[in-house]
Amino acid sequence: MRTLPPAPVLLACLLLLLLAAPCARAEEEEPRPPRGGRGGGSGGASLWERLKAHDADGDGVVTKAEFKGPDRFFDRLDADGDGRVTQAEADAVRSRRGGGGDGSRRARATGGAPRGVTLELVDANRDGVISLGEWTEFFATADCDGDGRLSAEEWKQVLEPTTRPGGKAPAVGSQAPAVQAVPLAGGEAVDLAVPKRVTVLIFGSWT
Amino acid sequence: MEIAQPRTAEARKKIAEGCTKALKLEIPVLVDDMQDTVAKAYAAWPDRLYVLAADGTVAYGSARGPWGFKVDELVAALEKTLGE
Repeated sequence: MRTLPPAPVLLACLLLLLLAAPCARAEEEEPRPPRGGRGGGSGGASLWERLKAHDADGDGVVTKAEFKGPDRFFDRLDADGDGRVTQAEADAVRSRRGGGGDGSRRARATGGAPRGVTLELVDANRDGVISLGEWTEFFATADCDGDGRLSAEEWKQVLEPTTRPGGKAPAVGSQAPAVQAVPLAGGEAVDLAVPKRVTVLIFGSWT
Repeated sequence: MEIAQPRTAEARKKIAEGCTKALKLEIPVLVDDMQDTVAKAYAAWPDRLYVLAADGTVAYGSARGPWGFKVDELVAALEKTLGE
């Protein structure tokens, strides 16, 4: 078993998010703009047609300030990260989700692929294939109440667990964010941008 | 086990104390503020691992958990950082 270096070299901090269990009820839901387009429902209107309802100034793009939904949904659409979602970006998202042509009809006929499911989400060892073990682990993790069935709420909670905005992770090689946290044992706040020692941050929820 | 969302910093601190005791943690434990400032800065929810080098740069960042929460990767990154 590998051992970690002694304490003088290493400072490991456990940052507890201390939030409710992963199965806690979601506080945010994707906003539903006014229905429009042919059919009058989400199945008939394109993603851009639904997003246009957020374009308050009618300039043809939806800014982050105009968007009334959760930031994580906006960030998912804003491919170039410029704070504006264009029709091209919305169409690109829809294409990746198989939202056109025969693929779309097949998806609707079978109930649609669950939103957010990608191979990468299930492929734990990133070898490009999903083994039975990985699929079983994925199901077990998603099945919050352990009843052997995935409810719609469990699906939403596990695949989109961010009741808080996800944001963008700091890149490797970049300067650590200038934030502070307070030691549970008391004392001065720890400035994580100036760690002075090699530091491990473990973010987790405990239940 | 389910824990109610803490509404105050004090409540969050109590949960942290319970966790520390239950897990018999000996490493320093830090508690985020009620605005989740640190969690947001590190896009940490629900689980994530990082190694910060002594100069304050990010030496390693895992993918978002639970599936990105890989301890072996963390250990390898930590050993590499300490060896540099």
